Amino acid sequence: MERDSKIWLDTAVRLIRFGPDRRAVREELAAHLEDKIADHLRLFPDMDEEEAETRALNEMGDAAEIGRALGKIHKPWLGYVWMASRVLVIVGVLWLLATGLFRGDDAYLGDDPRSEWWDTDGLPRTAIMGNDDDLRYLPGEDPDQLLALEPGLRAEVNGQNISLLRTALWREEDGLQTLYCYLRVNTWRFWERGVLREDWMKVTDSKGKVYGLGEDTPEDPEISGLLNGMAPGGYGPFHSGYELYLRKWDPEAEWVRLDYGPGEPVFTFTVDLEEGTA
Amino acid sequence: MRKKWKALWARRPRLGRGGKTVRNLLLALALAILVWGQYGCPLPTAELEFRRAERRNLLPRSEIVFASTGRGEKYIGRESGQSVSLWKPVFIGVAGDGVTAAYGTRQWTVDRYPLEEGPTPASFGYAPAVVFGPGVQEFRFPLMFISVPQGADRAELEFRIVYRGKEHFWSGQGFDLGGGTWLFPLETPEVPYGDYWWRGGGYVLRLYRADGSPLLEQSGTIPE
Repeated sequence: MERDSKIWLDTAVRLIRFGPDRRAVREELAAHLEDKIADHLRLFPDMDEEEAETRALNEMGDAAEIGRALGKIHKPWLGYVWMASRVLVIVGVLWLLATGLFRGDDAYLGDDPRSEWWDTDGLPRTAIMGNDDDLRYLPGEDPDQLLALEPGLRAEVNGQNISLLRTALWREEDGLQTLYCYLRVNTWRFWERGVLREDWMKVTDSKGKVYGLGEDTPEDPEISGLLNGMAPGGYGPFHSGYELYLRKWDPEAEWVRLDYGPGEPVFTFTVDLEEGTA
Repeated sequence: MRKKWKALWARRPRLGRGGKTVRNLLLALALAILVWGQYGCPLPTAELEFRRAERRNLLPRSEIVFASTGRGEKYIGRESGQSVSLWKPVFIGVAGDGVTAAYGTRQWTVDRYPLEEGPTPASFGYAPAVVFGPGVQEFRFPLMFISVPQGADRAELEFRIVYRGKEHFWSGQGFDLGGGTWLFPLETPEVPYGDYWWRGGGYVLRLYRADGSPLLEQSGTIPE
């Protein structure tokens, strides 16, 4: 069988340039050839193997003609693209498994406990403090919670969606009031998640008082801390959250206005604190 | 239950090689996006990074008046014989009545200043420049001015600030970076300093023509 069949098979697959396809087709043709030889030997028991092989080869057809047809069908570049796609998937999966294994969730979100995949609840993520945000922003029975609003204010700038999601007013232990606001910037363009800067935020109340932020934030010697501030309040691939706090809030102020921008505001949010509307 | 899953699995559509290739390529694309995201979504050029920094910071798209890739490009001082290099990508752009100044580190630092009539100071919170000269290689802070008139051949700056209770003064010549942008390599204060230490400082800018005659003198305060 060996030599004539080998020559025939090699000729039939010669023009298939993509190696794996050439080997696969050769195997299939070889299997057909073996079946034909076996059929001949079964039907004609007196026939010897050489003659059965010769007849089988004749029935298979002209190897060169078959080779030309197979060469036209099996395009090499498709084969290489297929192989490359398998390699890419394997490499990608291994890479992600390795980084996932060694770095866990940190690989994608970082080791900041404030990170989250989605802001599903519209509350800042301050995991360090546990569920304090639920207490702070959600309406509750605490008599010191003077106000808890969902202003639902939105603006769009450069494809970034900025929202003022929550506002809460609390009376602190010393009797003074603190105003909290939760803002969020989100975009589907995860590669350019928006940011807000504290020094570009200007807060004014209805009495004309401007609450200093950034470098202008006054210090409170009683608490040895800053009176006002805006800090990151959770982030994810598609959003950045910020929590604004203003201590010593004027209890007679009827509304609060947030103007954001390095010069002229790029967005402004005004919340009516008396009626609890925006 | 297990049989049901097995039956479901057996009934899955069989993909040919073309289908498998498409499936693999889509999967590879999704994995590549995840890997790209892992590394902070880097972009191929500094300009693209600058534009992204503008959008992230909700700033209008500016017209770039100065750009440096930070690959050690040297700007030569005509008279001093010294040269200065910026070590990180730096962009300055004008949009409306404002100037955007951005400095490229892993997280780009972006600032915005009002555009003035005439030469406008615009600089970065922290950005090192290196001054080279005969026997000289020093880190300095680059205070930039844009919209410097084209006729200026030489520029001198006096800068003064009281920082952490101590007066800090510097005077010297500037480097013409082209396009009306000049760089003045300020020495940093002797006391420990933070970013933006130079804000609120007073300056006097003097411009001279090629024939040495004065072109412009302007004084002002670096905006905060």
